[in-house]
Amino acid sequence: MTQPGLSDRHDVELAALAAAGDRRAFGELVRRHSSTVRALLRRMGAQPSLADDIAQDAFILAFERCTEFRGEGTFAAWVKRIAARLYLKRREKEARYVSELEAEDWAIAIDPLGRFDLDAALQSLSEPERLCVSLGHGAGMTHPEIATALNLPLGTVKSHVKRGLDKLRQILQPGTGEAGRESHVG
Amino acid sequence: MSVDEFDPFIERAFDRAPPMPDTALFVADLDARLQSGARFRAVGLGVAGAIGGVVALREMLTLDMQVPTGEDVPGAALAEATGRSINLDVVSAIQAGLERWGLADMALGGLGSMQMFWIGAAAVAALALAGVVRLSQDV
Repeated sequence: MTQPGLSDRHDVELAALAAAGDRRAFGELVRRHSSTVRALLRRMGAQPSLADDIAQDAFILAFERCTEFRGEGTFAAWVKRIAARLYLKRREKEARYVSELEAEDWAIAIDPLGRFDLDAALQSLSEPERLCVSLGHGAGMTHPEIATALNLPLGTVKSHVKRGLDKLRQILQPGTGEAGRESHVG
Repeated sequence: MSVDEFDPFIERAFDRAPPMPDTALFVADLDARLQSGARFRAVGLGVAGAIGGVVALREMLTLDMQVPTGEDVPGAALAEATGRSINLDVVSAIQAGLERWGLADMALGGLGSMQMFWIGAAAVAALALAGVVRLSQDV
């Protein structure tokens, strides 16, 4: 899926090529951003296999709608929003929420050096807190958008986000324990 | 770290996902899905084109050209007889082909060409509408 020169191009250029049907250009975009999208879905609580399925669906949808991407935000943010919405839809359809299982193994696998570990920190949040924080700070959705997507009152969403961030701050505060190694993040 | 600093800090942390070891496999799977989708669309368009072509051909063959017949047009009788003969031969060939595929009653049956056209158009419109509805539900 790679062709010479594509790796040097900006996301907006690649998206324009993809909008014209260039699958190799889109492949480069997928190569650049798939890890972030997959990680977001896992951080929202999806099992790795489900997260990968949804990430693939999100990228396929993004390819079909590439003409709608105007470069106003980043391409990654655009796909992350698509992926987050697809996950919420799937979650709503299945009426259940799976957060454990493979998630712990994955968190260990991506952090073999014991550096700053957002994934482990997110495990300490309740499900609604994790979802709201991930949607807001990971997928870039506004509080009203989260409230609509989760069918929750706006005040409840704000509370979940605030409590979630407070917990994360306690865990990740630089200079205290694990978060003191934040400078290693790369 | 203040609240104002912490928000962007967390956002950056979300953006810093380490590369997954199976990224190449993920990209290959996705490319295969995109390729099969493109193939499916090509086949769909091809089938739709073939059906449209058959309908158009049948319409053309059964068209009454309103050629004036009479003594004053030289060779009119011959042309009419030849045209009728060709028309008959082609229709017979199509009929035979459709019978071989078990579709004898479909194209040349009781339905008129205009009826078939509108049925085909309605089917395409329904498919397009279903696709739009599905997409709008996805996101």
